[in-house]
Amino acid sequence: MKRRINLFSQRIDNQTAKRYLRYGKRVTYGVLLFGVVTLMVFFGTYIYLNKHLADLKTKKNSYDRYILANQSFNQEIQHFVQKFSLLKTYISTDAEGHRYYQSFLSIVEPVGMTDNVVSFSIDNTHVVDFSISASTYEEGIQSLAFFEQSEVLEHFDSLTLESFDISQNLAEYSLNFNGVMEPLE
Amino acid sequence: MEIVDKLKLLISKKYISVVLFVLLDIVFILFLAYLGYKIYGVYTETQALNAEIDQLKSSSLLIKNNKDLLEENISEYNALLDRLIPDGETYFQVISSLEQLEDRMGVSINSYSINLSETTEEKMSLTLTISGTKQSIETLFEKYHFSSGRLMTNEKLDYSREGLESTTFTVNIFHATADTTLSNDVAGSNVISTEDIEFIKSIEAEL
Repeated sequence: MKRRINLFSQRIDNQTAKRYLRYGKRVTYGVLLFGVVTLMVFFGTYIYLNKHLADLKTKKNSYDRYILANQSFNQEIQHFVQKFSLLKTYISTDAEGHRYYQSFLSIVEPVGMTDNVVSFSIDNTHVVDFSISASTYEEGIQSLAFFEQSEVLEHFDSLTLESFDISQNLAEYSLNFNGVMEPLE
Repeated sequence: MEIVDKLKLLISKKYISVVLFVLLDIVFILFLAYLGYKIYGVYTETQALNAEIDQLKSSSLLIKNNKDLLEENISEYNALLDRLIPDGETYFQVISSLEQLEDRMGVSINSYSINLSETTEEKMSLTLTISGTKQSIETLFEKYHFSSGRLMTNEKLDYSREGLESTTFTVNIFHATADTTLSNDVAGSNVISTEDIEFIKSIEAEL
């Protein structure tokens, strides 16, 4: 069998290969150029970060030395700060009821109403309920008028008369108030 | 045979430089990747070190800011704080503090009950049934905070003119363990003032 050589087809293959190789060469040069730039940036970053790391290590060592020199005090102060912070947090939840009660008595004292305070309750949000007794209707009205005065209301964020009752057995009037007291200094 | 010919053509002198360049590119890219990995490693180390330094810095600041004022008596203050807020709670500690409260305020605690709904991991809420003179109960209402040797708080106070000789009184007592390290924002900025020290001394005087 005769062997035939297709010269035309081989020429085309060579040209395609050449074209790919030219393209490959260009890509290669591009990659090299990009690589050199990236390499420079990477080296710069690497050197900078290493220097920064060395500085940080020096800084850390100096802090370590200082803390080590004060190790005992460090443990004590950490303990102190935490427990003291807890103490303040817990105390802040206290109603300070007695202080507010005394403050309330000082408000009603000028009109001689302290003995008429039947009950007083206050919580840690300063919500207050109190009850005032009056032996006559007129006295009850006077008490009501007293709590409507602006200088009295200054001590309260809000104040409402919940009820004005009369106890038939004791023949005594009772004024029940509800409100919010102004926080004390 | 055609394939062999093509291979021969590829590795001929004419194309060897291109092949070498491609190989060089691959090595170059691999090296860049390695360098990038190393940079990432150093960066991560830097970040970790920065966090550690922040912690050390706040600890140092805490020491520096408070050393002069506290160094001499800090052990004493810590003992006091541990008395007020112990690390743990036992039945006998509670009984002992209630007994001390009775003795110092001149009131009788007839019974007590635990308010389970108000009790938490750190706080025990107790309702005390108390009897005593009007004056002693008023003194209790005024000075309950530290008179039992523990910190006591009351979230709602009820005064009643008629029932003051015998009344109920709800108190909270606390216990908590101090963690070994403070968070940075708590530690660094924390400066104990002379007012704080005065406050502690005033508590000490009450115990």
